[in-house]
Amino acid sequence: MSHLDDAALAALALGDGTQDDAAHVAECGVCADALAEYTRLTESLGSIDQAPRMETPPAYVWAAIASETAADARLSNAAGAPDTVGEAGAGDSGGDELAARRERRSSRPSWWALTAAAAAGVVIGGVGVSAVSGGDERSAEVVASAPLSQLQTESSAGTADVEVLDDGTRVLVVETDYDELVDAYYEVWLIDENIEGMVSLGHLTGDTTEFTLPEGFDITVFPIVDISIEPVDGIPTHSGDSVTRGILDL
Amino acid sequence: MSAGSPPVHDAALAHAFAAGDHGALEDLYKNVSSLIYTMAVRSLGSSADADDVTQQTFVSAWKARESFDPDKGDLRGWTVGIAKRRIADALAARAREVRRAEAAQENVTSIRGDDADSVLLAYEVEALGDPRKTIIALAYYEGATHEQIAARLDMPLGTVKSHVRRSLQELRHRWEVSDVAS
Repeated sequence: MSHLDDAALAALALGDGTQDDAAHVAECGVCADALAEYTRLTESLGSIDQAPRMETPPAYVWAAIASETAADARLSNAAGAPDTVGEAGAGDSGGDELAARRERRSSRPSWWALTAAAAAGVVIGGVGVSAVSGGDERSAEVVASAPLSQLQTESSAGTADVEVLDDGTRVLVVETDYDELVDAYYEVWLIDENIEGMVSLGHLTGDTTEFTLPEGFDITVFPIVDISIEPVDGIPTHSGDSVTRGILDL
Repeated sequence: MSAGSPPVHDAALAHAFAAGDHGALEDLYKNVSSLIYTMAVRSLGSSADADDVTQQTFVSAWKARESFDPDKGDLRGWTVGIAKRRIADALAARAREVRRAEAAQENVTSIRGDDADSVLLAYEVEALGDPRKTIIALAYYEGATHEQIAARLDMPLGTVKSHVRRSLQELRHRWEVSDVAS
């Protein structure tokens, strides 16, 4: 026995069905179930007094979706086109690229990484900082200190001190647990409180790394010490993947 | 978006979405975010939770886009299906909290779940377009008889019945799409 089509079922649900069709439904489980769906539908329709007024989500909902998905979008748009230095070179605002790079390592998301990535398009270049490694014996005065926190766990991750050496040179000494990375390295940044500007100091080379600050560089403007994981891809901007941070007590 | 906005039946949009075109996600959002948000607000009674559900729905949809087959699926129904699960998750999480507080309100949550269906159904009625949406609204929201509708719209009775019948078929199909989606 063939089953009733939708038109026949809908007619039955409306009380307009033929007697033959009604007799069929009485004996056929499949059609009885299908008719029950139509009945449920008409009951649901009947329970609506008027069309509900549609509400629009606040604008920040889309903003959040866009920021969570943009990274990925960039990746698929650029599928087959590997990153190059030229692509993200000086002058490139790089927002999407940063987000994309963050997304690739999104196993450790953090508000900080998001904020830093959003700001990374305005990296200040050409400050001319240089890094020196090693821990020569000498006297130094600590003028500012930042306890560092591991961003994912909020656990303690060492300290970053600004020291003034005898000759007046200021250095940032970063002491933190250092693990070798594969195809990536740790880069140290100083970032302003609005997360709008940042300066790269160089990369970590061990548990203690010292960076000489350029003369005249105002650390009060860039009090946030940030350590990011940077892939070895020749792209000079912040990856957005911050792992450690601290704020200098100035 | 008003309830009368055209539904997302656009095959080109569905293909672009599946292919990872971010602009398609934005178009999808423009088309169905109000529906999903309203379903969530009605179900959860909290605009903050509705914000979350809406956000989760579109992020999930985007991440799962490769599992969406634009040749077989309906993008709006598929997305609404995701939203329904997110709403159910939020209600379940809330029910767990309530149970923890030893004040189980299971029936409250299930009644609320129906609110989302009502919003969706009303949206689908709007999407039927005229004259069907008007006929269905008169028949069910206002409880008018087919004869009354025929008189009011100056339309033959058989035509009204035919529109109602076809509308029910369409609505049942739409309902199934989001129920079984992904």
